[in-house]
This record gives sequence, C-alpha cells and structure tokens, in this order.
Amino acid sequence: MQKIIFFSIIIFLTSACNTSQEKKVEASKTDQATTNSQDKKLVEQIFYNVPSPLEMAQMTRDAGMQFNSELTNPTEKKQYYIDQTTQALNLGVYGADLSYARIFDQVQEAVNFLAVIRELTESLQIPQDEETFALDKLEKHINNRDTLLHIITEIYSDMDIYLKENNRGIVAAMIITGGWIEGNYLALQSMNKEKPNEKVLRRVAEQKLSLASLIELIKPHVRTNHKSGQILADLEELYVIYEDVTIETKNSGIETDSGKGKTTIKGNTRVEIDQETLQSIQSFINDLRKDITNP
Amino acid sequence: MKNAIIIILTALLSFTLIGEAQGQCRKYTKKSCVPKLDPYIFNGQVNSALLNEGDIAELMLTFYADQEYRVLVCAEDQLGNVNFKLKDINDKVLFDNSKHEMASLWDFTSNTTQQIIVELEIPESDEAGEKLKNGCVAILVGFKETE
Repeated sequence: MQKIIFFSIIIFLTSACNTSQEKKVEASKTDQATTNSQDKKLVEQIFYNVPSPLEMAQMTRDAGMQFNSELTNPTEKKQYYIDQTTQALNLGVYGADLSYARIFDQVQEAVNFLAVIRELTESLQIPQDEETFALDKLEKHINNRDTLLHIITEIYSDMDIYLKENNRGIVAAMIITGGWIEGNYLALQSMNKEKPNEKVLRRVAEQKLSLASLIELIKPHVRTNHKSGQILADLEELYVIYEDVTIETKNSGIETDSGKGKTTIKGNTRVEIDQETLQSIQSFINDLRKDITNP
Repeated sequence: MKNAIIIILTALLSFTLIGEAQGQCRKYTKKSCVPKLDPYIFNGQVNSALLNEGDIAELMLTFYADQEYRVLVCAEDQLGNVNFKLKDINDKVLFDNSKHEMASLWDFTSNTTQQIIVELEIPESDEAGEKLKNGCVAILVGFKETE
C-alpha cells in the first residue's frame, strides 16, 4: 500500500509540473522549508505573462506611426512552415500582424491574416471554433472594430487554454514568442532611424522587462537539441544586449480620482538607451524574425 | 504481479483525475472568469491552477505606462475570499484587496512602465480537522483600447 501511495505522489508531482507553464520546484521547496522554516511562505505557482502584441501595435499608432503592409509577413509564406515549432512561431507572428492590421483599421488585411491563422491552427491540430473562424460572419461585420477585436482575443485565448490543457505548453510558448518578436519587429521597423520617435524608443527600451518575463515563461518548456532550445538561446543573447539599457523605477504612491473613478500608480522611471544599443537590438530582432519567417 | 497491476492502475487513475481536474479548471476560467474582464480586452494568456488552502501564487507581468488595466483574481467559491496584492519589484505593496472589502479585481493605470507582481494567497480554514480545501484559481489581466 505504501508503494501505491508513493507512486501516486510521484505521478501527481510529474503531472503538475508538465501541465503548467509555471515554475514549481518541489525539492528546493522541501530543502528550504526544513532549513529555514521562519522564512516567508513559499510560492506554489509562478506565472509569467508578456504584454499582448495588440498593446504594442496600439502604442505605435498612438505615437503617430503609419500602417505599412510591407512590414507584415506575407501570407503565402505559410506553405514553408512545416515543423510544429515553426508553425507555432509563425502563428504568433501572424497574430501580431493581425493585431497590427486591426489597430490601424486595415480590415481586409486582417481577414487575410485570419485565413492563414486558421490554416496554421489546422496544421497544428488545434481544434477550431467554427463560429469564431467563420469568415462570412467576419465579413458581415467588417466595419465593426469590436467584433474583430473580440475574434482576435477569442482565438488566441482559446488556443492557450487548449494547448495548456493538452500538455502542449511548448506550442503555446512558441506562439507567444513569435508574437513578441513580430510586435517588436513592427515597432522597430516603423521607427524613423535618423530621428526615432521618443515614445516608441522608450517602449523599445522597456522591452527589457517583458523579454525577461518571456525567457522565464518559455524556459520550462524548451528542449535542448530542439528548435525551441535555439530560440531560448537567441532570446538570452538578446537579453545580454538589453543589459546596456537602464530602467530605474520608483513608485511614490497611489492616487485616486474619485470623480473619474480612476486609480493611478504614481512614480518616476529613468530609461536610458544609447544609439549603439538600439542598433544592436534592431539588427538582432531583424535576424531573429528572418530566421523564423524564412525557415 | 497483482500488486504491480494495482500500482499501474492507481497511477493511471491519479493521472487521469488530475488531468481532468486541470481541464475543468481551465474551462472554469474561460466560462466564469474571462467574462469578468469586460469591457477590458483579455491579454490572451491563461494563468490558472488548482490550489490548496494556504497556497501562494504569483503572476509577473510588465504593465505599460498610461495603459488602463484590470487585474482579476477569480477563485471557486469553496476557497472563500482570496487575498491578493500588487507589488512592485522593490516589494512595495501598491494594492491590497483586504483593504478594499476583498474585491476580486482592481482597475488602474501606471504612469510608468514597470514589472508588477500579483500575489494571491488562498485563505486557510479556521476550524481544526476540517477537510483541506482546494479549487481552481485564475489570475487574469485585461487592458483597455485607446481611441
């Protein structure tokens, strides 16, 4: 009976680790608990998120950038995406392109991206909600910005749920990675190289923070001697470049405007990035994006 | 031989039940939690897990300056009121729902881009000998589209 209980516990721990994107280190937890029981409670689950590509696209629009269809990944390239990792990465790329098109009200472009996304989800054997993907429904509501936004959100959250539920966290992680790379690529390419827009430049520098989260998010899923392992190594190399970016934040408190019902975290941030670092980041992301979209 | 079969069957059963429970948890997140983000746009990343009383979970995310956000902590009823805090990377508490009638969500803007940690803790049962509570908990983030 003891054997049965022990074996069940092992299975439980293995399953818990495999089905979540979060870090959970039971051994070190036990060690720490015995050596320093007075410490504050240990965290059972740690989740890492990265901002949505929609947020990045929104910022480029708000900063006065224009839509440029030549920057997005051509839809006909989908035929070259054969293996699962490449398909997942490009599913993320097209998702960021879809967000970019939606934010700039390029509805026909958005419909084209949606069609490729549908094909890639099929190739990756991710079940689709026919209702969500119904292109006729989309075309019917072509001028309804909210419907399109709702569809984008629904597709990507449904995929995330399905993949995590089915122990395919690596695919979910690669979709997020592709979206992060493309979102940054679009912002960097939209920028005037001679005289970069202050707001975009700042946002590019701030990606140091989301890159750190992205690395932690994918780390538990990647395998060595696998394409995902190479992606992680590339992102870690990019982070080394980002180490030259300075970000110092000091929060001073919370301010609530009861009239508007808004709460603001007040503070100051010092962000510094020099021209050389910016160029290195641009060049690295260009190469990384090229590797992903031209396998 | 008989023992080996029992062990394998028990292991398979445990594995199936855990997988099933985690699947149910994600379904609960989609049906009961995601709609509560409205009118904010869900960032699409599902952070949900089965937790026991006394457990602590954290979510780390970069929040952009001047963007409006909603952080939602959604837990199954049997877990009671879940305490959650938002802390900056210097461990400074920015929000504590225990000071806001245990609200399950917080809407805010930050005037600086920064990493914020959302920390939640499942309350422990007061009564000794009571069965250990567990259930599904999700931490979700939504943002608002600017016009």
